[in-house]
Amino acid sequence: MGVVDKFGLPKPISSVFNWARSYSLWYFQFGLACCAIEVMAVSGPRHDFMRLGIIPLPASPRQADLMIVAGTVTDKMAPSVKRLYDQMPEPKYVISMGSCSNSGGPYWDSYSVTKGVDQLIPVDVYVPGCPPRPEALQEGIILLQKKIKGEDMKSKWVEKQVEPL
Amino acid sequence: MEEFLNQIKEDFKDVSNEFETILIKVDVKNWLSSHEALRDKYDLKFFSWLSAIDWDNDVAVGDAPKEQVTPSFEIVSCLSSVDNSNLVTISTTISKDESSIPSLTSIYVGANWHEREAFEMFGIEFLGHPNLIKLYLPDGYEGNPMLKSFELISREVKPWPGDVDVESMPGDSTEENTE
Amino acid sequence: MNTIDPQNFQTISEASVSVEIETEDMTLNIGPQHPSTHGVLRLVAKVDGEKVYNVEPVLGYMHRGYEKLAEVRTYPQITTLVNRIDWVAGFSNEIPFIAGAERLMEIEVPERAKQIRLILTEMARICSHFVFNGAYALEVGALTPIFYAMEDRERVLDLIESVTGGRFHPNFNRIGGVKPAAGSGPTTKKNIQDLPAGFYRDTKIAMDKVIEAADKFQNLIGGNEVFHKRTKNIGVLSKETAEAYGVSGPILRASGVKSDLRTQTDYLPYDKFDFEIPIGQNGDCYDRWDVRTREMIESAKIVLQAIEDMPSGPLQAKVPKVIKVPAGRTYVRAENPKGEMGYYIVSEGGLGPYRLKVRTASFSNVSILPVMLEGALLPDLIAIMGSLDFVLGDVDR
Repeated sequence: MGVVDKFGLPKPISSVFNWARSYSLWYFQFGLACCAIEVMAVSGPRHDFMRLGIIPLPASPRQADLMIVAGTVTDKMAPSVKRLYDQMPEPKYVISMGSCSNSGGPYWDSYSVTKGVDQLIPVDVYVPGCPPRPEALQEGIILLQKKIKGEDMKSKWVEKQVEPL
Repeated sequence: MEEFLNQIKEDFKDVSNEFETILIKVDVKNWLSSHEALRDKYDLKFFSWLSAIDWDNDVAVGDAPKEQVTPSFEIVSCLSSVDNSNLVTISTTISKDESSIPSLTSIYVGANWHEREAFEMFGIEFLGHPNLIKLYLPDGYEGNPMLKSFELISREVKPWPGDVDVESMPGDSTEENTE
Repeated sequence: MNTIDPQNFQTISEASVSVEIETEDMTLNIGPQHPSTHGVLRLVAKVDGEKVYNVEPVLGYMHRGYEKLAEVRTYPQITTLVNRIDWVAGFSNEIPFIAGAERLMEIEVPERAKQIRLILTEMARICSHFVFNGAYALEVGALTPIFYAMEDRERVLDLIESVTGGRFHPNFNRIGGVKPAAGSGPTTKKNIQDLPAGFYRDTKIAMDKVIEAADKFQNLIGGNEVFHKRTKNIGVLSKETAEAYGVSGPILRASGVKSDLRTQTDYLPYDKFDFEIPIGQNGDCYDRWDVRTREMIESAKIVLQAIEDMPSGPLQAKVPKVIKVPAGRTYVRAENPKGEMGYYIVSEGGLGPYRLKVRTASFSNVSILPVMLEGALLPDLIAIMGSLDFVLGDVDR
């Protein structure tokens, strides 16, 4: 991608790429706690996220580009979260759902809970609530789609010095 | 229930029934034999749980006990029966310096994981347990979290965020009671 | 190099290979992130081909330290924390804790509050069994039932939300009764809101639909031959093993034991209503699924009876503003959807308990996994684990 590095992409082409990426997010199943039941409810028939383009649900991180961290992250689980994030290929996005993964939540003073998943991985959208309503999660996904549409290819596809996993 | 209580009172000396919970206090040397008697004679074959209480005057979190207590561990186990509603709790006291007690896995197989949890949370050693290793905490974790002397670091660093409330929290040394 | 001797063709065709193939067994790590482990449970399995011969569960990936956190919170604050233990049926986790605190304070709860608690507990049980039905069918291989289950569950969650304001973490119980409901209309300090308008009609519709859905599951899933082959005679559990390990709830009932804490204890007024307790015969995976589906129908019947004659009266008994529970200890247990849940409260007369021990159902239920999974095939491992219906918040607390 040397051309993109030096000159950047013209607006029409990059907007086509962004449009394609934002409407076909593949979401990696990573439900940890109570918020996972809300994600199951969002994928049900009443509040449907398949109409936003999020089908299918791959179980492997190597085929996904969106990770929704739903639930409490404990210190024992933290290395796994980091490792699964590293296994996802670029470009990847993270939504932090619920107050436990935003900042520790109701367990902020516990001896075994990580205070927020943004201490481990970079987060794009925070969805507050305990648990957030399904409509709130859908709004979070739509905000993420807006963010993707306004992205600049040059800054996103720069070579990163990441070790392969 | 009354008949059951009377029968228990004949066999064991220290039995009390407060708030609808029967509590039997035994000595450490009768710990195994009393469980065996309850299982065989009274048909209490359902092993409900086992845990420990840390009695101490000098607490780092929460409130201290009302009256002075001698620092010790109290081990409590609970047995019940599936055919009727009989339930007993049995407790014994051990000292903090040499905190070890025989394990119940020879009588009730289900006590395995409960004793592992008590071991890692309080530091109590169960003699004769087949596999006494950590259950919940990650490898390399130091300390026993449920001891009263274990501090919660987040609370030392940051005060309780909802400080505008009217009620006081356990562990506050203020004596004011708002009306 | 062996040369083929034309005169020995007959004997060569009769020769058989008698070499034993030596294979090493493999240690397979299932989890913690895996679509079918109901959360973050890790199993370290030693397999030989497809047969599992030793399984060791590794817990603790969801350990949040409830018992320590309970020592620094007051009783109403613990109520908000405690309904996140079994996060599928949120309302039913608060009941034994509140009942224990009320027993120590010797408060008499008004009849109307107890009946509302009973209705909401049974609705929570229905929601939990819907999730079980949908997820278990998904693990065994059927993709459609989960969508039916999620749709019918939404209707019941709407009802719970109209009364309490929260879908599955309601924080609705107060010491001495329940909170005035989150109905519609303006609130003034003097107006006590009660159950919302239209609750009776909506509940009747929803419960009839629940009974229809359970019948549909019994036909769709229970009459399916593939389901029978995958779950009959798999994972048989006997009564003695279940008792020794402390297994309770639908798993114990599927092994033929007629034990239900709703009729044996009196934490809620179940003796006013008429319902059956379904039990199974063999103790295999099919019976566990069958017991839970029949329990859904019984719960719907209880709710239909309970909304007919609601006693009138206050919603909460008189309690002081700052709640201090007198010294004492008690153990209260209740029949949760997953099994027996109990709280052992040791109180020293302060604002919060001195020691709170939470006895959860799934902790004891999961401890039989090493015993039940010996000699099972790998696909059977998934079917057996799904039929135990545990939730990691319950196991790890």
